[in-house]
Amino acid sequence: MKRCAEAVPLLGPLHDGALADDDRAWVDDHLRGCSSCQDRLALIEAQAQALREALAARVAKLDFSGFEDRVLQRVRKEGAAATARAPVWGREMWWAHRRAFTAAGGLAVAACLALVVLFAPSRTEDLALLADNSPQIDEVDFGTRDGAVFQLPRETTVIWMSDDRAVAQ
Amino acid sequence: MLVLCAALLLAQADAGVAATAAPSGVERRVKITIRAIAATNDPQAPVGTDPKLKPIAPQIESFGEQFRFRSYKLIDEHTFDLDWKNAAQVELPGSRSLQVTPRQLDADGRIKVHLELLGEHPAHSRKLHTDYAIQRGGTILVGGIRVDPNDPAAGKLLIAITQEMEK
Repeated sequence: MKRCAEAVPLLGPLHDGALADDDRAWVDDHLRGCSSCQDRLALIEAQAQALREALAARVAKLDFSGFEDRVLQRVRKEGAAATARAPVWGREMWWAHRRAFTAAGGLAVAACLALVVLFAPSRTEDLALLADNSPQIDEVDFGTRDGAVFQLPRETTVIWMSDDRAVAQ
Repeated sequence: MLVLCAALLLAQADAGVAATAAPSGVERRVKITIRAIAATNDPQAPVGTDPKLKPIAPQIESFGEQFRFRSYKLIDEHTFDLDWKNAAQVELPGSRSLQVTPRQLDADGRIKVHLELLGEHPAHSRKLHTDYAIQRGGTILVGGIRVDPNDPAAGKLLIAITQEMEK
């Protein structure tokens, strides 16, 4: 049986289903006989699950209702005002290049949406942090072992070590 | 006369400052409860959470949603009333031990704590150390090592450190 040191780097790809068939065969075989690597794989799964839930909770808090309508309404309003001020040749120019302008407008809307996606989560996170009474970890040292810190619901912070033993060298 | 009044006023102001700066009885000591819990998937173990863990039931429930152990049983519980920077030490199964030291009270009311998990005899090497900040009434969970280092079936040791509210 291959050693833990060879199996550990492949546990993440195994969990993601990204391992080649031949590697997966011997890693599965190693896992059947190694409780340490079973623990490590369980920790990877728990981390992935925690990340999924945290991301889902963050996305659920975002409110996009009516956002696109508001942006399009503003684009139309500003477009109308500019058109009213523009001379006749402006309208002809608009008509001649309407496809390019429409594409540019679409790009502007996409850019606005991208900005919201980029900035809205950080504001939500800041507010959540301000309201969060969970224990906050300043520093943690697992020595030679694997470990992770989980911020779970209901103000629960968990420091989790994968096993008593370090990876066999 | 003017000098005397000024001296009295200064003495009064100084006494006032001293009274506010002195820590109250509540701030001088810190109460910590440490619970050692066996988290197992042993089919023989009773399913669910030990009723003695009721004070930290929300945290165990939240932990259980993520780690999905079958059974949570209280092994040992100790409460300490500590001076600042004095360590509470608890013996854990498998001749391991845990040291928890309250270090300081932050301006936001959180308590800074240093925690060390020490290994088996004879070396007692340090397995884990951490510094964290916690509100009064808060609980932090530390776990993952085996209850019995030689028996994987005995489950995982979960240690709950609770910063008790002052009565």
